[in-house]
Amino acid sequence: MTKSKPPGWLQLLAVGSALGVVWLYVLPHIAEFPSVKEHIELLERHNINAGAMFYTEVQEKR
Amino acid sequence: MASSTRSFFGHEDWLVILLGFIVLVGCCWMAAAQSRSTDQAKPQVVNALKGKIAKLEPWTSNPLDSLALRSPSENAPANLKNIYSLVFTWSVLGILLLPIAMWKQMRPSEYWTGFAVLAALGTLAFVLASQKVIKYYNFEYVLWALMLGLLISNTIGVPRLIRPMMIGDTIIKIGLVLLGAEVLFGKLVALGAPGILTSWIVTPVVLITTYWFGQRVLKMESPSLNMVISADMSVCGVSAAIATGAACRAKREEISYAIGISLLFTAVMMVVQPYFVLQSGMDKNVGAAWMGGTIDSTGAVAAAGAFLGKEGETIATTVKMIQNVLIGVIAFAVAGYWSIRFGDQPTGQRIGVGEIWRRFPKFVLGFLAASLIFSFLLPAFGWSSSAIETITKDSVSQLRSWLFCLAFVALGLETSFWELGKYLKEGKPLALYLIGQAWSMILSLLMAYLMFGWLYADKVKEILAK
Repeated sequence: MTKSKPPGWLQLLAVGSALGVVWLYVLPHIAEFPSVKEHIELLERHNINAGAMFYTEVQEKR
Repeated sequence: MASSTRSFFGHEDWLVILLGFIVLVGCCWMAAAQSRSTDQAKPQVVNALKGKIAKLEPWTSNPLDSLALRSPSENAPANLKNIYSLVFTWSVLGILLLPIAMWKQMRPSEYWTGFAVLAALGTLAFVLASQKVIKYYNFEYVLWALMLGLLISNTIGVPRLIRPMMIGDTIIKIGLVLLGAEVLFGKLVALGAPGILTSWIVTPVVLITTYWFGQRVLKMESPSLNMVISADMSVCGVSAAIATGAACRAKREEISYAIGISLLFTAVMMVVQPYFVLQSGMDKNVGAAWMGGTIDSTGAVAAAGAFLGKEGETIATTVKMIQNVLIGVIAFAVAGYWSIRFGDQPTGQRIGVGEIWRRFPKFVLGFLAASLIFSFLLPAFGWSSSAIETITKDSVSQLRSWLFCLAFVALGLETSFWELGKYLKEGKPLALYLIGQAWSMILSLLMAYLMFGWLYADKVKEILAK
């Protein structure tokens, strides 16, 4: 017997909701962890774009 | 119109190079050097495009903060600058990619609907990547662009109307021509001999030996996956994976896999490596050079370097920057090697120059030409380094980021989890990455000690003091 997969739109809704929970609830909470907060604050103080792909993007514009 | 465009260019890559150079000429034209101060000896360079290409702000809990809509004072109207930038950026990209649509004989409805979907998902990818935890742990926008594309294609599927717009490979090549302008050979001398020797000896050695190990010892099934992982790990992460992947015509799943694995380990290494340097009592200059040579991603190197202080940050980012410059040479070499080594005739048969030229990915020439023009030709015509810097940093680099973002959305929309899952199940690519990274760490540490801790230790301190 084969299990039927849920319809695509339902899968999209489920994964989209999970992403929403992670980005709007989990990550903001992680950002408050002392070690993470310290990490973020240090990089902000130094104007460093840690998400830079190439050296031309490293320094943040302020 | 479409067929005449096709016959004129013959090969898509020529059109890609032309579009890339139209952007570069436009950026140069918009960044005319004007004297704004009374001091004629030091004219300020004004880039009219500065701030016009959308760049989202970091945010913690409210995604709308990425648009920075709030005005400094409470009574003032909302700040719409970023909205205008977004509209401007979408317009530029929409017009830029139009000739590609004509080349591929798309209908206007297919192009504009497809472009709207790519632009919307691309913008969402940038919003996700701007969340502070994501951003400051180096999970770059390409990962989220890919993820959003994968999510759509593997749930509701890609509507027939926008399928012709799945041209990620082509958009990547335009982005790579722009990236060429950011590869400035003048940056090589920033740290003198120790910087060049650390980056330019270890990197090619690690790349070649890791690729050899993958082919001969691990017996990887796909040489292109082997090359993309080797380059990603030994040169500069995502940008190297994209450039070499395009040069050796790697499959989109192979590039996606290499990028995913690299970003995952980079997030760990950018925290663990500076901690190890500080706890082990290693000389900070040596540790910074070591991190610059081994951590894949450029942004993560700067972040890790910052934990060692200002000098550590300078050394780590400069070593990485010199390694970044190597990307042009590597992409050219890989394209040449692939053209000679991998073709459709029987193994061992000699191939002629004409055949090598036929196989060679022509866009690499545009990439290299852009690098040479911005490194040597513009300075020779009197363009100052600050003018070139504002062109590359304030406009070219940002347009290139948008092109890569749209390209990875399109690649995600074309990829199935099943295809990607094959690589996740196999242990060899992961083993290749881990063994290559360990090898890179050993060689880089030896070279960093030799150059920054012994041979040129005093010279480096002298350079930093300036």
